[in-house]
Amino acid sequence: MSDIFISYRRQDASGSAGRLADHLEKFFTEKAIFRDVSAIEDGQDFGEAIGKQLKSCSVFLAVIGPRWLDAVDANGQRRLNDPEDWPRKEIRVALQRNDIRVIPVLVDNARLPGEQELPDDLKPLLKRNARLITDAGWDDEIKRLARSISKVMSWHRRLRLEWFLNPYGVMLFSLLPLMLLAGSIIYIRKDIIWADTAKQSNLEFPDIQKSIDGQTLFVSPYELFPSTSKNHEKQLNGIFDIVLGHNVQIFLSKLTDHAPNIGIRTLPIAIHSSDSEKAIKAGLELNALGIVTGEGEIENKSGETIVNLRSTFYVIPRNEHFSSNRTEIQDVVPISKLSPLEMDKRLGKSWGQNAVIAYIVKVLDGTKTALEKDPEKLEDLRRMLLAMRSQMGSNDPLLKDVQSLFSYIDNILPTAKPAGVKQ
Amino acid sequence: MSQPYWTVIVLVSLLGGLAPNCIQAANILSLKPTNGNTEVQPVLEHVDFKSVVMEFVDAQNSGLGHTLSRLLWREIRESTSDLQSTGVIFAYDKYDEITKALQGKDYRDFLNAEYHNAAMRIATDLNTQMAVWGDVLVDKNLLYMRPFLTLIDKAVGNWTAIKLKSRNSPELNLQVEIPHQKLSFAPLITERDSFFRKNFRLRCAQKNGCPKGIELRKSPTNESEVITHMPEGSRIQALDMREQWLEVESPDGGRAWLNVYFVEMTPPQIQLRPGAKTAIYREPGNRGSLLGQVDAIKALDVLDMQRDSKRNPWFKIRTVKFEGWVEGGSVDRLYTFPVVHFVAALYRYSRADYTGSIAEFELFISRAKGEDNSTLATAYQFRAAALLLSDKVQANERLTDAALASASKAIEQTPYDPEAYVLRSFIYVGILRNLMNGVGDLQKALELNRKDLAALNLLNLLIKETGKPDMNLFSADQLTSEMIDTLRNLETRYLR
Repeated sequence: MSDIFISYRRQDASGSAGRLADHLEKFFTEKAIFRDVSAIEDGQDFGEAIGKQLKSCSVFLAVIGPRWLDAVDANGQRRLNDPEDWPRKEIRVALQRNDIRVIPVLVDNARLPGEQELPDDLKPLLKRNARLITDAGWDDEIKRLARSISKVMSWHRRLRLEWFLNPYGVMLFSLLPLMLLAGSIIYIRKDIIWADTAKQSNLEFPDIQKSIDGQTLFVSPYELFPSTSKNHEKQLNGIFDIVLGHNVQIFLSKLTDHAPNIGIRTLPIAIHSSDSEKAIKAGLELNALGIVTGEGEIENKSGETIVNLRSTFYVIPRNEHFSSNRTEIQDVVPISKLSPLEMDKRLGKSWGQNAVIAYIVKVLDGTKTALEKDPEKLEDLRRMLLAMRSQMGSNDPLLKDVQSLFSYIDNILPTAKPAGVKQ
Repeated sequence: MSQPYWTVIVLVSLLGGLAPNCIQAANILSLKPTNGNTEVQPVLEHVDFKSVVMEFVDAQNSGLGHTLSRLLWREIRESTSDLQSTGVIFAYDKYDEITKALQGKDYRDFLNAEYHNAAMRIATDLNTQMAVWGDVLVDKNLLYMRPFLTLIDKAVGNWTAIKLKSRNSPELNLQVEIPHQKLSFAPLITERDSFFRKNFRLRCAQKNGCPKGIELRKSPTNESEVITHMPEGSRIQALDMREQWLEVESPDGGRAWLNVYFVEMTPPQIQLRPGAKTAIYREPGNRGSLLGQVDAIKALDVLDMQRDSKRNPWFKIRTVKFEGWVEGGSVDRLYTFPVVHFVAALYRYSRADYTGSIAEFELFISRAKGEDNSTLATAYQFRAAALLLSDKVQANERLTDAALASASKAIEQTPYDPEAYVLRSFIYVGILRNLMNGVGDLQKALELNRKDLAALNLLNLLIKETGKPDMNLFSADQLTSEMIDTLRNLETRYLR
């Protein structure tokens, strides 16, 4: 079974889908990719084959070209209106699976359809981060797409068994030590290699939607501390991909209690925590509320497994009233079982609070005079912080920031006695 | 972020307290996004205190969301069945509305925003005081269930506020708000195999009795063929569960399905109470068959359960010395879901059964493993209040000390919650007449929130008291010049 399912409309983007598949094969095996024409064996039932592949894939690419939306059948009816239309069926099934990543891929200068233009069952597609692949930037954009796909696939699926079973298997196997050595060198020097990739991309994000209202946090994929052992690295990669990869919106959990307007999106490139210049540049370009970057490691302490996460939170733009626009947050998470589930449960809470802080800083930012005239808004923020702080333990990593914001607001608010004090 | 408006169409419910053994209403809940038209049918309308347990979100469609939340609901009902005019409503999703609403969304986002809103909305519309909701995940053989509890204080006049009166001064009435309206609980992690493989005793849950016995069916639906009947009170081995159906071993050794209504919800464990000898009997319901008495023991497995002629439960246990039966009323039941103790404690608190409330909070605290600090703080605060209220008739040093210790524990858990300091300040001033410590806590509360109403009112009262010739809240020798300065400073800073 293949890992990557490429869905496309023949009338629309047959050529681009083929080109996409060919290029992705440079990064994955041929068998890892499913495209209906090439991957169905002779004699296999077409519908059955597609159904099987849809059930087993871990990444679904919905290739959308300029005619995807409006292609018509022999009777002049829009194909997309027909519930039996193949691309529509494929996307519908993919969206129903919660465990795979669905990526709309826009080719040949196509745009993402509007909500009104899609049948109801395809509307959730618009909530997925789309990628734009242009002719001019083809190679770089495919590289980025491949990197994000590879994070969703678990390591054993990336390293396919077929490699060792084909006639060249033995030869390949004998080259393994050499490959491992090369791999280690690449790993050790990855900062340089990745930095080069970033330089080429010139910090432009053509395939990521900017924040319209400036209320979105963008989270960069987390990296591992260099000291992480190979064994732990393997385990953590899987976890970070799920916990901090395409599903970052899970951290909205606590946020919705306090600041329902904030959105969270993934940043397609990794930014190193210490690279504040790059983080802020990316934040300004995306009109972000904040940029979050981070690293993680794992350690065993007297029988207990502990995951350390260091998140660096950049508030965009700089705010003179906040102690620092670069806030570092250490999450020490003791876990009983190293699973994505466990990590998600443990980390969700503090992450929501991070975002609340960002929201408040943003509200305070540069509007001091206006806020002094709007005590109601300030009272709201004060209440929000008071409720948050009331629930904190003495070691809460966010305590300092909440304290500093609370005192700041308390100082600008009029000191009038509240109503209800008995005389 | 706009949230769809959810509402309830119809509900299923069982009534605790009034009629513990019969189904009062047997309708089905359907969760449906609507355009804002409320379509709630009143359920348990004349019951004063009630909660709603919502079917847990089950993103993997394992069917266990329904199963586990139903068991949780049964346990909550069981834990409060002796309380008059209380009820527990179970709202379940018959038409797969949750699955439909979940499509294309991240389920955790859905759970915390939309489903939480739905729970609050439904709880408010049904006039219930609490909503229990959450999610279920299955990871191979492991079940993972995470409950949340939302307190709806608007339903019945601010019931979550702790209201206390000082016996030293009629003027000192305290009202402390519990700031945590949404409480999260540590997930219950358990192995599926062992969780459902239990021995249950059959009970008749029908108004008109079960003359033929209890039906075992071929498949898990009410329409399915009846394989055999088994007499009420007989024991049956469960193997697994799907929605409300237990998969059981039938008498011929095959498999059959049994509606969970027809089994006794046996607590997995009980605890013998400290400070009292517990009598163990040879037979259930027969006090003449005394085997002996034992001291407090923590967590004993329940081997069997039966009811006596008054329908009071008896539990079979094994200690080092004896194997026999104890009366349900003489022991503490340990429920499968620790959240049940918390919820039961709140029920009892609201019904002025303070002794029962204290016991349930203590069970929750003693079993707490990985619980949120703010959930624990809430338990400690309510426990402190329950201790003071149980002690309102006459002064009892032991209970007051325990209340003070409990209030201090709450401060340890949430040291930045001003209300936690106000509560302890009240105990110092209003009960122990310890002005210095009371003012210390008051100062701390006001430093945390200079607008804290309860703290400002308490300060106001203390300042007024200093001017009186006979002081109720403290003795004259406590009013040192240093103390007078402190009070004056606080007045200037916070009351002017």
